[in-house]
Amino acid sequence: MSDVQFFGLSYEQVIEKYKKTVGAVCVMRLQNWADAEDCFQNTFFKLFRSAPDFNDENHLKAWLIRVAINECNKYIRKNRQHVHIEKVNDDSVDFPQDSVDMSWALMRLDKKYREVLYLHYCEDYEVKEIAEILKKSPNTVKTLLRRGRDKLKNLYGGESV
Amino acid sequence: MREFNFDKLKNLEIPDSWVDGALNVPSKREKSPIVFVSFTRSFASVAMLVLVCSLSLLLFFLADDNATPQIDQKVPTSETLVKSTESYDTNDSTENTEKELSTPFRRVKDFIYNLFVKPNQKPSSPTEKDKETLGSVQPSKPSEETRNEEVSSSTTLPSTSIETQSVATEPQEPTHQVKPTQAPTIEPTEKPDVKPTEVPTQPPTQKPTQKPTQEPTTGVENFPDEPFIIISSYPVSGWNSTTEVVYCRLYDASGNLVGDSDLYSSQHLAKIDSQDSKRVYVSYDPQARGLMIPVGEYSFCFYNLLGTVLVQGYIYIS
Repeated sequence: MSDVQFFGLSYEQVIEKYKKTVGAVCVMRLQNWADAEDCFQNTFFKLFRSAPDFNDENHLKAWLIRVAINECNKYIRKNRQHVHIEKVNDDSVDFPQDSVDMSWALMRLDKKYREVLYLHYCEDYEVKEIAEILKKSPNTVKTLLRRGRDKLKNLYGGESV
Repeated sequence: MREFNFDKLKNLEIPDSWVDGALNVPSKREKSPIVFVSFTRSFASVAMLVLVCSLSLLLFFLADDNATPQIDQKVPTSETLVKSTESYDTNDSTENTEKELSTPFRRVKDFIYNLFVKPNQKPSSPTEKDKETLGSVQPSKPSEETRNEEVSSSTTLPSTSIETQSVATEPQEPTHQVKPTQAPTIEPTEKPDVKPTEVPTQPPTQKPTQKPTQEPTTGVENFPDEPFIIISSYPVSGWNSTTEVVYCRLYDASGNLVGDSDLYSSQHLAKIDSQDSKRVYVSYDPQARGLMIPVGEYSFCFYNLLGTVLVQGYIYIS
């Protein structure tokens, strides 16, 4: 591999460190392993080829998430796959209903709530950061978070998240 | 309250195949070191454009090689065209259309020619009197003075002066004018010796553009007693010169050609009288060419060897 460095990290190290984040974004967005794999790899290919200058690691992480989302959107546009959640169950990531883990419920939400909830609860981003990554206003992000939580509550059975 | 988490999603196990695939970055497509390969389409487009332009220019200049002596093809302007009749339009419609289409190109060619070719030796410019007389009645016989006087003495004399062309009639016949309501530009000063034999049949108050009330009778043709000359002029440009041969053809009211059907026969031969820096002055004497023109309405057209219409107009011979 080349000697390209991304804020002190080699390409391999970047993949190792952020593979779960990028992978989760792709899986959450596409809900299909095969499609998510393509977007996952394309995201890191783009990092390697463009090699942008990052201010810090948070910038690198946010950049990867943003590119992963864009890659997924591009993939969806290109393939026009309108996959319904009921049909995905056989081929999708299997998240068994768990009394504690809410991943399965998150995967059933609409994608606009999924992204916001995932970034907030899984990646621990603040509203302002989510707004920058998703290029939305903070108020929109707040609204999506509130509505997403309500939908999760409805899915789970009324208990608050 | 129970605590909820997204650990499954947060700790998603990424297959090793994904990581291996991400590590095998496909090599970038290298740019060709040859510039022509990278810009093949651009070069092809430019080459096609150049080819088309050069071919168009080549065709443009070669197509009219036969027409080198005379490039100027003037569409009659409002200055020279008096009136067009339907019959005239019918006969020359295609020719006029071609001329209109080719006029801009010919002007470009004239411009180019003027840039590189010195104009031909210009003939002596006509006097002011000549300029004034153009478009007016001119007697064809030498006894101008007496005839002019006769014309001036007759107040009922209709004229044909339509800016630049007219028909000259003999002064003995003041009614033998082409346009009955337009006054000649030159007033004759002396009376002719011979008095008019016919009484003018048209009142002097006849409106312009109206035909005289006296129409030639069908069957029996009335000829004007005196010969007349058609005088006109057209602007100089390009390769016009006095050495050029000019013809004139006449069409009667029904659109029939007067005289020989061969448009380049001696019967249609006109004469270039003079030329100045702006205009060429031509005349046509039908009687001298053996044509007997009965009274009536005619359209005339001066043209050159190429058939290019130099000037055209409308006359009435009475």
